[in-house]
Amino acid sequence: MAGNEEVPPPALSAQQPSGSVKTLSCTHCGAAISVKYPGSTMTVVCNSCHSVIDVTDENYRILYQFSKSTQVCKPRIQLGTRGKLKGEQWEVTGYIVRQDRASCVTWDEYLLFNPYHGYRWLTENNGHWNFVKTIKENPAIDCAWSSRRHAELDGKKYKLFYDGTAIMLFVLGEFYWRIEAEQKVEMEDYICPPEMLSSERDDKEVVWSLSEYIASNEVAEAFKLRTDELPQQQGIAANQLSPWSARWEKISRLWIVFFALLTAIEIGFCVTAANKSVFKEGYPYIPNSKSTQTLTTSVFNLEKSSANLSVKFDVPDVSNSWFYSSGELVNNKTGEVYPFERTVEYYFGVDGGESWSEGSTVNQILFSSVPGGDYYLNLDFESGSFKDLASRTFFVMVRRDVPDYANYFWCLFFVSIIPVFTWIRSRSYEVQRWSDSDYSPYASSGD
Amino acid sequence: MARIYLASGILICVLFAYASAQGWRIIDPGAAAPSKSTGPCIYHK
Repeated sequence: MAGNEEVPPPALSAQQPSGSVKTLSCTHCGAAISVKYPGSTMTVVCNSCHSVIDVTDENYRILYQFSKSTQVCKPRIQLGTRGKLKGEQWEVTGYIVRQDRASCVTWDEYLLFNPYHGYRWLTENNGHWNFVKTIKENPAIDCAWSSRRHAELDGKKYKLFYDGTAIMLFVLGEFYWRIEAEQKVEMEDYICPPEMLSSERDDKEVVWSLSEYIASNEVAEAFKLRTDELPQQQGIAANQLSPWSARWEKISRLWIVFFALLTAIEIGFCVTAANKSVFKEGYPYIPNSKSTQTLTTSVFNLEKSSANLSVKFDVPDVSNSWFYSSGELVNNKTGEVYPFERTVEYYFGVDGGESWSEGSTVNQILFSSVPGGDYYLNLDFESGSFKDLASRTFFVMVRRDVPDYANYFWCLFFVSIIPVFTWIRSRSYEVQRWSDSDYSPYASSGD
Repeated sequence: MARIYLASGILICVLFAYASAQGWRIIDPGAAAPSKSTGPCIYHK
């Protein structure tokens, strides 16, 4: 988008170019050249010899001859083609091929004209298209961190994506500024998908433009082209809108709602849980006994038609040893049995001057959804080696409707699967986008 | 995708509330699992 002097408002008569076309002969090769919009055109390029002619000069001075130093490029959209983009009719009047001097990456720029709306640009890079409008405002540049520079315009933040020097490789058509030989500009691109702010700086001026990413099929439809006539898309464009970022935005908001809802439900159940002790009894056991000892507890009643139940074993004398119990919770009326096994083990010592411990003197089991009624426990138990063989006591405690966090964490896990997946996809999309930039926020310091 | 997530999220919340009210663990891999003693040497060999 070079040469962006203020464009004079075009004459209304230019709407009917057939009536105002100016014809001249090329000063260099004599070929006929027609200038469709003489009111606003300053430079025209000869189709035959690619001489750049100053049409404001009465002798049609040749400014430069592109074909001498560059190859001939063919525009994908022919000059003079008209198409409707963004609700307005545009005619392609100029074509420029530019190149980044450092990377040698080239891109195409098509100059569009509408007598009522002036000039716009249509740029194509790796099959990605942008509709570009020059702007009069100068965005504010924040250079707080040199590597994370950004521009601000209308409250939007645009991150620096590219800076470099661009040169003009090839030019065709008519233009509203004087094209100079080997014109080069310092460029900066700042992105906020699907928009991009670009600045072009030369010795005389700084020109800002605002680009909007448009789909290639929109371009094909506008200029009546087949999609296979347009270059195939490669990679992700700097300002291409990520399909995942919009999803991530919606889904992350929903996740917050679900997180709050699950937490509120969990707190509600924890606060209102009865956590009622329904049975507590101590029983003697003889350590190191070779045979299994057995007992049956007294009957206890469980209220509530359905709730969880916790059976806890407390064996305070377990010390560098173990206590094992297998048993069953039996419904006194129906005979329904809930078998279980639990071991209480507790070890400790000093190793290399450091003390360690492992296990606990208590262990419990949680039965989920136990119907109400009368129950008792059948217990078989045995124990490991103890220092002395005196009779010890272990305690069995049964609690009804205890607070439980397992469901909460499982539900939180399930409700987080889609957000995590979306975040990963969104991030990998952005990483791929920024892989073409020297200013990637995702690059490690070693890159 | 957001709609699918909204529907599945609501379903999970309803399931969670129902399961918690019933004292039922949605996933309960180790509640009644055997826990026979392994002895100390396994941990501190």
